Amino acid sequence: MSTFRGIEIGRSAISAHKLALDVVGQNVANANAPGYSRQSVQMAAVSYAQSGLSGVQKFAGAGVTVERIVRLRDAFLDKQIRQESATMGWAEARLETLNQMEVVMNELGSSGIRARLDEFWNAMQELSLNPESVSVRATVVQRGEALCEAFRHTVGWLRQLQENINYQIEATVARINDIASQLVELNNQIVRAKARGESSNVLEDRRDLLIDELAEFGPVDVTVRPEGAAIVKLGGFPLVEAYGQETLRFEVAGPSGYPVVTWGPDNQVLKISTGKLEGLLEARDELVASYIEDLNKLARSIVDEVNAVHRKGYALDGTTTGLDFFVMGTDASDVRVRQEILQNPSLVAASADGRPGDGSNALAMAQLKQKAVMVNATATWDDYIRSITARLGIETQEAQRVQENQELLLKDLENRKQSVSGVSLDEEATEMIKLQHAYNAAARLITVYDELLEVLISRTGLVGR
Amino acid sequence: MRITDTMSVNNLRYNLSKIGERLSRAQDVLSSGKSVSRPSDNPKKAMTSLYMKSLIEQNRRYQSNIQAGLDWLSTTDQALDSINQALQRALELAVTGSSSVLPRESREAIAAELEQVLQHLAQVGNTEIGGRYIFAGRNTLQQPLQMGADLKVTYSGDEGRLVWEISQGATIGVNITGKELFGPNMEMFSDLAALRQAVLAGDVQAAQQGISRLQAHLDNVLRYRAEVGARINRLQVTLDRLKQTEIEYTRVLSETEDADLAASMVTLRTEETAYRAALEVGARIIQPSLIDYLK
Repeated sequence: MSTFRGIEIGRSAISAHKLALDVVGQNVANANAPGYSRQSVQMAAVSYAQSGLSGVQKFAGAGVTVERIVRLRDAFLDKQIRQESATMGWAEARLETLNQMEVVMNELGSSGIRARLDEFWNAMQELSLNPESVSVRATVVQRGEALCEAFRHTVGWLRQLQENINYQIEATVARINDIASQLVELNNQIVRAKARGESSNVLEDRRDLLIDELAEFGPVDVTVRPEGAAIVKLGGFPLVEAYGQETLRFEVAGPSGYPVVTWGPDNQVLKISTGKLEGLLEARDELVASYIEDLNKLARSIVDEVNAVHRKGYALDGTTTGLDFFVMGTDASDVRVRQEILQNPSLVAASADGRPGDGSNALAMAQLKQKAVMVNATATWDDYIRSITARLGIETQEAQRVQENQELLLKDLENRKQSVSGVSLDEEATEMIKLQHAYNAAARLITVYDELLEVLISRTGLVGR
Repeated sequence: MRITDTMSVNNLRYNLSKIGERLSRAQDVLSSGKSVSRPSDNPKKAMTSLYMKSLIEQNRRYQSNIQAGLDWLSTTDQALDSINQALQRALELAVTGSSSVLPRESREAIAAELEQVLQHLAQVGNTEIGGRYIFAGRNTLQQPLQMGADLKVTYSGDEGRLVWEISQGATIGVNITGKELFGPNMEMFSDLAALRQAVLAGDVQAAQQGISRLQAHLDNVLRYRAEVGARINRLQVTLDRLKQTEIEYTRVLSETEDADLAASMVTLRTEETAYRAALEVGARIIQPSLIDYLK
C-alpha cells in the first residue's frame, strides 16, 4: 500500500480541475469568437491497475484524469449549413444584381425608355399636324435624340454592371485560392499537432471557419482523413487535396467574351450548380446579358422601322429623300439620330409627296407605335417594354423570396449549431462553481492527508521520548 | 433545446432586421405616395401603371390634335363665311347691273365694286394660320392665289388632303383645297370677271348667265360650309369622348399606383410598435446572466 496514494488522489483532482477551469476560461474568453466550438472536459476515474502503482487492488481507485478535451460540434449540421450557404450565396448574388437593375431600368419613373418613346411619338404627331414648323421639327429631333440617350445610358450602365460583376468574380476566385492555401497550411498544422498528441481543437475551428466561408461560394464536400487532414472539394473539383491545392484560374475567355473559371493543366471549366461564384457568373452571362439583349432588340426594331418609313418620305425642301433618321451601331449603346438631321431638322422627312404641308409620312412614323412589329408580329414596342419590366419585377420578386427563405433556414440551422457548439455564460458559470468547489474540496483533502502524514511521520514512535 | 447567448442575440438581430425592413417599406410608401415604386413591388400593378400612363399620354395628344383641327376648321369657317358674304354682295350687284336700262356710270360703278369683290375673294383665298395657307392643299408655304393684271387668278396649291390623326386609327382630312372651293380652273374668279365684263358691256344675256353661275358658286360654298360644320361636330364629339376616357384612365392609374394613405399610416404604426416591443423584449432577455448573481 502506497503511503502517498491519498495525496496522489488529491493531486490528480487538483490538476484535473485546474485544467477543467482552464477550459471553462477558454470557453468564456471565446464566447463571442466567430466559429468557436465550445470545449468540454471529459474526466474519467483512474483505476488502480491503470495508475501503474503496484499492490493489491482492493482500493477505491487512483484519482481522476482528463481523458480528453472534447470539441462539441455536429458535423452533420455543418454539412447542412454549408449546403444552404451555397444556395444563399447564389440567391444573394442574383438578388443584388436584380435590385441594381431595377434602379436603373426604372420604367415606372418619368425618364425611362417608355416615357422617352411616348415623348418621341408625341413630337412626331405634332409634326404630322404642322410639318412646316421649324420649332416642331427641332422638337422631334431633340426627342429622338433623348430616346437614343435613354437607350445608350441604360445599356451602357448594364454593360458597366457586367464589368463590376466580373471584378467581383475575379475577387471571389482569388479569395477561393487564398482560402485553399490557408487550408493546406492548417491541414499540416493539425496533422502535426495530432501526431504530437496535442489538442488540435482551435486549429480545427479555424479550418471549419474557412470552410464555412468557402461554402458560400459553392457546394463543398469535406472528407477528413484519419490523420486529421481534410480533403475539400468545391463542386466536385478537388480544391484541397490534403497537402496540396489546385488553383483556380480566371483567364480563359468563355462564349460571352468574359473569362470563365478554369483549373488544371488543360483548362477544364469549373462547373458548379450553386453558390455565390455560380450566382455571379450567371448574373453576368445570362441575367444581365438577357436584358441587354432585349433592349438591343427593341432599339433595333425602333431604328429599322422608323428608318424604313423615313426613307420613303421627303424633307422640307421637297426633294431630299432616302435618308435614315436613326443610326445604330452593333447594339443599343451606340444609337443616335443621324448627324445631318441633328444639325438640320428641316431634313426630317415628314412629307410623303414632297409638299411642305403634308405630314402623312410623319403620321406613318407615329402610327408605328400601334403596329405589332416585335415577337413575330404579335407585340408593339409598348407591349415589349411592359413585358421586359414585368419580367424584371417577377424575377426580382422571386429572387427576394428565395433569399428570404434561405435567410430564415440558415438562421434556424445556425441556432441549432449554436445550441450544440455555442457557449452559454450561465452554463460556464455553473461549471465554474462546480469546479471551484471540487478544487477546494480536493485542496482540503490534501490538507487532511498532510495532517495524517504529519501525525504518522512526525508524531508516531515518540512514546517515551 | 440548449439556448446560448449568441442564439438570443442572433434571433433578436434577425427579427429587428425584418421589422426594420417592413418599417422602411412603409415609410417609403408614405413619403412617395406611391404603392408601387419598383416593378418587384407588384409586377402586375407595374404593368398596368405603364399601360395607363401610355394611354393617358396618347389620349392627351389626340385631344391636342383635335384642338389644332378645331382651330384650323374654325378659321376655314370664318373664311367661308367671308366668301359667302362677298358672293352675296356680288349677286346683288350683278342683279342690279344686269338691268338693260342702267346708265353707263352706274355700270362702271358696279364693275368697279365687282373688281373689289374679286380682290377680296383672292385675299380670303390666301388666308393663313401661323404662316400656312389653308386653301393651298399640301403646298402650304406658298400663297395659292395669284392675281394677274387682267384679274386672272392662278392657283399654285395642289389637291392634297391634310390628314391628321384624332384618335387611334381614326383620321380626318381638315382642309379644303382651292380647287374644291373656287373650281378646278378657278372658275369663281373667271366667272366673276366675265360677269363684270358683261355688266360693263351692258350684255344682259351674258350677265344673266353669269348670275346663274354665281348662284352655283354660292351653293358650292354653302356645301363646303356644311362640310366644315360636320367636321367640327365630329371633332367635338371625339373630344368629349376622349375627355371622358382620360378621366377613366386617370382613375385607374390612381387606383393602381397611389398609396392608400390611411392603410399605410396604420401599417407604419403597427410596425413601429412591433419594433419597440422587439427592442424591449430583447433588452430584457439578453442582459442578465448567472454571473451577475454570483458573488
